Order: sequence, then C-alpha cells, then structure tokens
Amino acid sequence: MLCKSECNLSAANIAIMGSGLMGRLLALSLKRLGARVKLYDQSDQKGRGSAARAAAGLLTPLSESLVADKSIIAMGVKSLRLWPEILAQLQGYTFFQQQGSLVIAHQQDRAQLAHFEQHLTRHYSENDYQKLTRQQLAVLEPSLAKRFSCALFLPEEGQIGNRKLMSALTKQLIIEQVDWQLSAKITQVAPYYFVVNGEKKQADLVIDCRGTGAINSLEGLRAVRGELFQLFAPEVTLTRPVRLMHPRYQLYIAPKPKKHFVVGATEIEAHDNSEMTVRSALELLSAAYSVDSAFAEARILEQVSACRPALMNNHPAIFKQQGLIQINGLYRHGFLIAPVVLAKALQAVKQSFERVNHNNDEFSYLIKEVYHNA
Amino acid sequence: MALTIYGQQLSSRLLIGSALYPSPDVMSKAILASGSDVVTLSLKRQNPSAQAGAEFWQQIQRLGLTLLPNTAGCKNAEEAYTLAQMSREIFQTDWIKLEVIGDDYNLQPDAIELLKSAEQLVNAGFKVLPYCTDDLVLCQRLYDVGCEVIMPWASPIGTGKGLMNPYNLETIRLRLPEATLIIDAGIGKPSDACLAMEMGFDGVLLNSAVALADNPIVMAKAFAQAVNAGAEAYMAGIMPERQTAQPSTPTLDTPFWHQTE
Repeated sequence: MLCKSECNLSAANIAIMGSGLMGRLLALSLKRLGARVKLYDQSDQKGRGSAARAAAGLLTPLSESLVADKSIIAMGVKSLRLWPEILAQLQGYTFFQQQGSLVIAHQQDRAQLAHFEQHLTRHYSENDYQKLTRQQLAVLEPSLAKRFSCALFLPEEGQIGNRKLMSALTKQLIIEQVDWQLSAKITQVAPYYFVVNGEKKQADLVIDCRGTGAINSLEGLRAVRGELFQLFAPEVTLTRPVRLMHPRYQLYIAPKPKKHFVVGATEIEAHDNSEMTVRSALELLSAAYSVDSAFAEARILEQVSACRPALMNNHPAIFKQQGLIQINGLYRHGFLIAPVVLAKALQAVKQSFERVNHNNDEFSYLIKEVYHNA
Repeated sequence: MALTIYGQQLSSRLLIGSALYPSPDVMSKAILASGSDVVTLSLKRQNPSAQAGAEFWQQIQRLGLTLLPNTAGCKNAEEAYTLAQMSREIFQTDWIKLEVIGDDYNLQPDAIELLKSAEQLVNAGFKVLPYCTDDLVLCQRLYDVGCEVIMPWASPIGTGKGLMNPYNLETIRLRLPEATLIIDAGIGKPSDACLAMEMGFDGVLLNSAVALADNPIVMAKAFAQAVNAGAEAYMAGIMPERQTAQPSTPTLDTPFWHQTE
C-alpha cells in the first residue's frame, strides 16, 4: 500500500497472525506487492474481540501529548497525512475528517486546562493550537459555548471512522482475494512456522499481529482495559472531537456520521474483557451529559469494553528476526499511528527478504532487531 | 535517618504511589529515582477477584520494594474490609493503606466510616495506615484504635495545594508525639514536602506531584532531596525566628556603624 513497487515479494509465502487493524493493512499491502499472503484470525470478519472495534478513531496527536510522548505525537502527525492516501486505495466508504479538535474543562477544573496549555506552550509551536474565547467557541461549536467560556482548539487534528474502515478493509480483502482463515486458533508462533487449530504450518515469514493475543509470546506485553459507549444522539450538534479535562479521568466525545457519537474512554490496568462496570458507565455518561445536556435523550446503542495491547513503555514496536516479525503495543493509539507503523512494518518485511539494512531513516526506532544466542 | 513503620525499618521517608504515570516504564524509573522503599498500589477497579491487574502489578512487584495496597475507591467500611482481605491474599501483606472516601469530588475521607473500618481491620490483624483529614481528634481516635501510623492530608488528593492548614498539622504533631505521622495527599512542590518534614512529620506519601510532572523521573529525585533536606533540618534543630535582624559578623569595622541605626 505504502511500499513503492521497487520490492518484489512474489516468491514469498507470508503468514499473518491476527486480522485486526494492522493485520488487515499488512495483508492487503503485501498481497499487492506480490506476496502469497495467508491471514489467520481466531474471530470473524467483523473483528469482534479486536481492539480496533473498541476505539473512537481519534486522530488527535496533540490532545494525547499530555500522556503520550513526542515520538507518538510525531507518528500521529505523519499518519494524519498518510491516511487519505490509504483510504483512496479502498473501494469501501470510510469516514475521515480533519476539522480540528477541542479541549475543554468545567470552571472548577480549569487548572487541568491550564496544565495542558502550559504543556503545549512549552513543547509545541503557537501555530499548533489556539485559545478560544466563548465567542470564538460559539462559531465552531455553538452548543459548547453555552456552558464553556473558553477552550483550546487544535486545528490540525481529525478523526477516522474506525468501524467503517474495518468494514472497508474486509471488503477489500475479499475483492483482492486474500486467503483469510477465520475461527483459527493460533497456539504457537515461531520463526518460519506456526501452529493453527493444532496443525503445524510453515511459511517463509510469519508476522504476528495478534495484539493482546500475543501476551504469552512477547515479554512485557500487557492488556489495558478501555470502556466506551456508542450513542445515537439526534439532538447533539457537535461536529468535531471534544475532550473534557477532569482531575481523574479524561473524557472524549467523537462525533460520527448520522448523529452517532462515541463517548469514551476509561483506562484501567487490567486484563479484563468483561462488560462495562456501573462506575465507568456513570463516569462516562455523566461527563458526556455535563458537556452537552442534549445527550440526555440519546439512545445507548452499545457498551463496549476491550483490552488494548501495550508494552511497558506504552510505545509500539516491531520485533524483527529471521523468519518472524512481531508487531505489537499499539495500545490506545492504533488508528492514530497505524500508517507509520504499517510503513515501517513493510520496510522490515522487505529487509527480511533482501537481507539489507537501511534502518536509519525516520521512525527507525520502531524496528527492533532480535538476536538469539546460538 | 531511618523511618520505622510497624516494626519495619525503611531507609527513605518518602513513600510513593503507582498511578497516573505516562507508562509502566516511566513509573518504574520514577519510583526507583525517588529512593522510596514503599510503593502504594490500588486494585479496586482492576477486577481483583479475577486478578485482572496481575500484568501491571508484576511490574511493580519486580521493583522489589515493600508494597502498600490501598483501598482507593471504597466508600464504606464493608467495601474496605473486603478489598483489604483480597489484597492481603494477593500480595501476601498485612499492610493496608486505608482510604474510605466520603465525597466523590474532592475525595475527602469519611471520618466516621474510616474510624469504624480502621478498628475492624486492626482487629482482623491488619497493619493499618489510614488516610485522613487534618482533624486532631480524628487522628487521636485512629491512634487509639490501634493505628500506629496516621496519615493526615496536606490538602485534598491531587490538588497540589500543599500544606493548606499548617496550624492543624503542627497541632497534630505536637499532640501525638508517639504516633508515626505521614503527610498523605495534596503535596504539589518539593518545597511542600520539605516544609512538612521541617515540621517534624515522619514521612511524606505522594503520587500526582511526581506522576503528573513533565518529567516524573527528575521530579521524583527532586522530592527525594526535599524530603531528606526537611528531615535533616528538623533533626538538626531549626533556629527560632526573630523579629529583629542580628548580624552574624561584627560591624565594628564599619565607620560610624552605630549612627546608622
């Protein structure tokens, strides 16, 4: 997809474990580069159980910058430019917009907003954000100006329809006849082979994109629980992502087409896929209601809870050794940074077959060579 | 300079929390940089009965420090009791940092439930470190029911407002000379921690002030130095304040020195 045609993988048998966001993007890209790709997933085409379904598709790198470090922000900024190129190569419709995002706080939590503003002033250019008065806010989002007297506007930020994209990728995988094995229980992943539904299979290269499914095969990988709501709120007029700063939790509201909204998300250090707790539901919904009372009559379409795969530094990584590439740790930043991770993963695949190393370009820190003592 | 808590000698008077860091890696490095021997951790929201937080807890356990599980998120004595039992089982420790919250917004402890809960837990063999407000009588009562360590707040959790009511804190120190007193919550700057130690408190417990700093690792070090400075200053005996200036060197060699007054 993003790899230009100079590399030819036509002789390569590549097996991809996991058809979440990364698995799908990689499968399509490698297929187009001529590889014989087989994609395996324990779930179905809808990606149930994948962290990608339980996301909001926020492309808001700067809004993440209080908790994510500069390398994630840089990947996010670059990915915002790469997404339209990727989407143009898919036949299915995917929602994408780049109309900026807003960060707000209630009067009693203004210190949180001041903290964020101090952080932006310290680390970013004054062109990256604008401080809005109530009047300026009213121009962008009239409903917010009723309750909030100021806001921070991050004009470059955007969002993507995460579930629409997963569906578009499904459609594309089918159109391009990618060999996709579903309900595949993967019990072992190793260089040049893997075990699926009890059967050992060989490949020239195995790529592990299983996310939390790889917890037992990747040291330091953990699951972080996140919970969110899908709402239908015809009375809400918000048009761009809004983040509410609060001393204990951060809430975001991501508007989707046809008056659908995603309200999230909790962040709990637990490997726990069980349903949303009452406490989380109360926190999320009362925070959403406090931003815009028009949420009162919204219909709850779905409560979602899922685990995001994270490494101990909360950064993504591509672990590369002969015959095996493991891509993991996209954490809560999957859609935010996927295009950059995809480009680097394709580079790692190319290196595996060409046996050449040109690893000193942008984001090269993503690729980590794994050596085993003989 | 050692601090003794429930018979265990600790080399640092700074106790540190494990929440709100940008990543577990930064958390581990900041905790190590703080020099703390004791690290607090919460388990209420992590589905403890299914041990769902194990991957994260192991990262903390690998630091090899003394764990102080807390009951954050509990609103009454029954909830705190159940969670304390669970944490004793999971972490094999009878230490418990008791938090019973009465007000959801500023996380102010519920004094009545706290006292009830502290007594229950002490009777069940726990070594209880209660987080409380800076109310002398409440601290006294907690001490009376068997808490050897009392942890009054400097100001509400996460506010970073520092020592909001120094008079109350000084009174508690003065009136409970035998209790181990640790300032818990509300510390914003290293100077706040230093001030608490200069007052004669035995230690400082904090989390947000380090975890939410731009650079938590460097801030952890700054707090370690501040706590140490305050503790040494207290032990060294701080000279009393005076109303008039008193030169430390004679001014006899200054011409007409006596006419300038």
